[in-house]
Amino acid sequence: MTPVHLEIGNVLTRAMRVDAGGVDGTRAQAIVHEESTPTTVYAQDGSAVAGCDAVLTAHRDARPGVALIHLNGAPRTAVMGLAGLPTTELTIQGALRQAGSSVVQVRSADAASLEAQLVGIRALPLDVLAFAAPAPLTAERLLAGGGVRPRVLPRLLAMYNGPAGEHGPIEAVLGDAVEFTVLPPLRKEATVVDPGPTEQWLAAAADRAVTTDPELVRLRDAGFRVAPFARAFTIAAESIAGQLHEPPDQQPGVGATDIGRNKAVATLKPGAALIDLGGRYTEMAAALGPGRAASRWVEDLNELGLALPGVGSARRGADEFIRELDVDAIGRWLPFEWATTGLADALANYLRRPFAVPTNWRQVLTLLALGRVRLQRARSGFRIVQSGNGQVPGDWRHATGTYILSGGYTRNLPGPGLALALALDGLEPLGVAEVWCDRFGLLPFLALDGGAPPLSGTDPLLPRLATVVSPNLLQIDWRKPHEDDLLALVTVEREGGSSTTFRIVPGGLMRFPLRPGERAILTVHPMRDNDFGAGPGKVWRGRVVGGLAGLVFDARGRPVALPADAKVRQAKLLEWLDTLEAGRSRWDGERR
Amino acid sequence: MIPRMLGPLTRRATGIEGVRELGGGCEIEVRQGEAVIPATVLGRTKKGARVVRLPLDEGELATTMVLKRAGESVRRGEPLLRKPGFFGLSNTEYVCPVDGYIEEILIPQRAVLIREQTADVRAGVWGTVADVMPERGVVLRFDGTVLRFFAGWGPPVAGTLTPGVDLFSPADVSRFIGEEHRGKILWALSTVCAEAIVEAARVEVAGIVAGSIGLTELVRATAEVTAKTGRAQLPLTLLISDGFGSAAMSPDFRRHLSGAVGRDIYLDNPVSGGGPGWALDPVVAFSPGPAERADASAARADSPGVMAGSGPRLPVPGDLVRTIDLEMFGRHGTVSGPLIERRLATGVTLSVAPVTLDDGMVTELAVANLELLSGAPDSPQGR
Repeated sequence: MTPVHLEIGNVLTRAMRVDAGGVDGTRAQAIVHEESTPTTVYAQDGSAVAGCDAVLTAHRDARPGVALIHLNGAPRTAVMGLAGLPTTELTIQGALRQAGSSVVQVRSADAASLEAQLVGIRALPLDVLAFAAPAPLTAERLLAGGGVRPRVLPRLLAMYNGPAGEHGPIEAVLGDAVEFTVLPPLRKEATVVDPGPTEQWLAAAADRAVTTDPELVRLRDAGFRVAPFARAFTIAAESIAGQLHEPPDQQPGVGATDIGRNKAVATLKPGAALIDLGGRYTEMAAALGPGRAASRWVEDLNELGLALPGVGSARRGADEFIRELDVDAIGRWLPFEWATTGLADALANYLRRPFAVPTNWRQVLTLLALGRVRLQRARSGFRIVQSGNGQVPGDWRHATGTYILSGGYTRNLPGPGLALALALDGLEPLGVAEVWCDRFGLLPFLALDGGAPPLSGTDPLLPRLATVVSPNLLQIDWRKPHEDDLLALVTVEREGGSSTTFRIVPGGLMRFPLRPGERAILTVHPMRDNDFGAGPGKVWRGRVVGGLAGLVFDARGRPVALPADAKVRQAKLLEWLDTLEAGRSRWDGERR
Repeated sequence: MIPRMLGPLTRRATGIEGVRELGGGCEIEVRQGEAVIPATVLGRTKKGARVVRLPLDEGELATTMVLKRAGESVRRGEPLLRKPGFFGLSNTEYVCPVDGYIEEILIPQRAVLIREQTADVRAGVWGTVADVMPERGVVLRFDGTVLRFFAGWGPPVAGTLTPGVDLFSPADVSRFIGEEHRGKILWALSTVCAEAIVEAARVEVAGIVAGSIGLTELVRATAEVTAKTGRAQLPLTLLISDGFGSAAMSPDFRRHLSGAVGRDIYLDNPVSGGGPGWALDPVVAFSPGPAERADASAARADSPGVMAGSGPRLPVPGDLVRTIDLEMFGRHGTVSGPLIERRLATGVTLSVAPVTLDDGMVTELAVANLELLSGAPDSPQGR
């Protein structure tokens, strides 16, 4: 019997019945039926049950599968610690991964703004207090004037993982108001951090909160396995990482001879990133390699997070943690004219009702423009925190070879060409990378229901959109001609033996028609010091696989540069969309 | 997709229950069963703000005399300012009048904005206390009308509603906004311009209810108020009924509000508790006083206390809807036929409903882009 999976999202409550044949990767998966409704868990007098009942109407005979809960259904945690320290960052990461998507950070050392930070936190019912540093003053102020309320548990759960022996004052302040646990210090020695006990404690605390939540009792009683979306999402990222990475010596046609001749040999980077672009939140989870814990990031998009050039925004003075979207920056991605005033109103209305679906090309392209800017913002804010030493390496994209885009945005896009445009412009992959699309958000469910499936490329519900080749760094100035400039010489050797050599020039977006699943050996000879992932000026040579859009060479700049002139810019945007067949490609493989 | 079940936007009924959120740590001053009038103080919350004027004439030296920084907590009686006098031979101290924390120090305006730990929350309606939720708020039961608005800014306020006027053009501002509106609620029949908001803030209007507002106007007004007063947020409460842009207030809202002109109304803009704004629609509530109630009790046939709530469902012909389509936002209409599957120009197949809009226009709209304003099919219709 096919299982029905439930997602109590931040914007939509969704039920999805998936043909189980796809789990082993041998047979294409299919969505048998999908239904959604705006989430009722947030609504005044609303409940998760009302939304679930509505979307489950057509699935009464189905086997209950996994129910994933997002922000408001999930446990809420406040992390008290010193900003920027690995111990604080790893505690936040642990809370993000294990205890749900809602984590509030209190910068406990910032005494001047402590009260301002705590006013908002006291207004929210919480489940978990995590002290990553000895901060008795924060604890005292947190409990002042009635203090924080537990959300569903009878008492708040609190833990301390800071320096050993310094928890006493916090414990004394918290008293009986919370259930307090002292964990082994997260930083064991000066250079060694161990987030294991913290992660385990947070996971157990999250499970207690989920089990106690009266809203979710009926789902559990009905046989659903209820878990925070956050946990499933990060497990999926961890299991995908390294799947497509083939060591050079294991690449047929590349490894032995090239290594023997001491030629540069490259391979797809082992890191994998999952990006869920939802109506309100952008969630990202990325793992640097197989067996490496994934880091997670959540970007909140408030309904008034829009700023206008020259005058600012209506959220002035409000939550400083929420950065705003520039309406003009979104408008620059539109291939047509829309006055700032009208665009600002349309976007503000959409952000207030993020479950509206686009019904014509103008609306599709407007939401695509918004999605690009949201992805760019999430991408630039995302940091990977390594468990071993708590260090934060540079741009995470340098280690990422697989990008998987999912979320409500992708479901509303008419075809894979538009999804690829969204990923290319928003994420701007570096070097050689594969872009996939999990349009129905299957991976988190499957990850929790027996492990994420192998990325086969044959599954129409989880297609490889393209293998993308782009330089790590490229400045484009549209006021100068680029036609005579040369970025790299590229050779594609198909498995059948035919070989094609061509050049790529700065400013262009081009496709090579490698069929979906077709393998080829790609050689990129960069001109001058251009870097395509093998190092400045070094040849990248390795095996690549075609996606729905084949091989895509993106030389539009890193970051992508848009012409300043509106007419030229709009023409370029249309040209790029046309290159990706954004208006012509259609999704395949749905049986709905 | 099953559209959002919003239910009737206007409700005139007996036994309406409304929650006055006071927030964590609040002090509640009423008991269950107690009768309240609009001016009754239900309790004290920590969310109020108070501007404390400081006698600063020293220009640049003024900053050195303020003893507190933004974000610091203060207690009643604690010195806020120490000012030297008599050529340095004496000091004068000015103390904080309330417990709270410093939100902003406004040197040009010679003031400090203190977020109080206690601020009064009033009932705003005639009714009774149905329930007291310790540490959270009070549930009021009252007979009257509740209008569900689209979006709002500012804290809950009560005030007398003035007659509906046009406030969409700067030319209207001097005609319709004056000192006599201090502490009252202005009613804009359609959109409201930035100049009107700035002038309303200057004369200390308590709130504005309007059909819509352009985001640009809102941002411009906020920027101008900040430049003039130093306040980061608008010093009044603004509620819009039908979305961002320039839409007029729906006829149904106008009809209900016209009955409340000259009476106390309550603008309840819920405090965000971590949920998205779309689930926290602000409401306008008002109830007749004892004299009016006695007059009307025999004549009026009320609808049930709470409009029959029902879970999400698909629309059926006759349902009242509001559109949330990106380019046709906030229009009201009636579903005029059965749902059909339609392949759109983008190639996507969607369920659409034929809808007759209030202005007579007939169009097909994606079911996902409708909000149902009717309750269950067998419940009383109304907005």
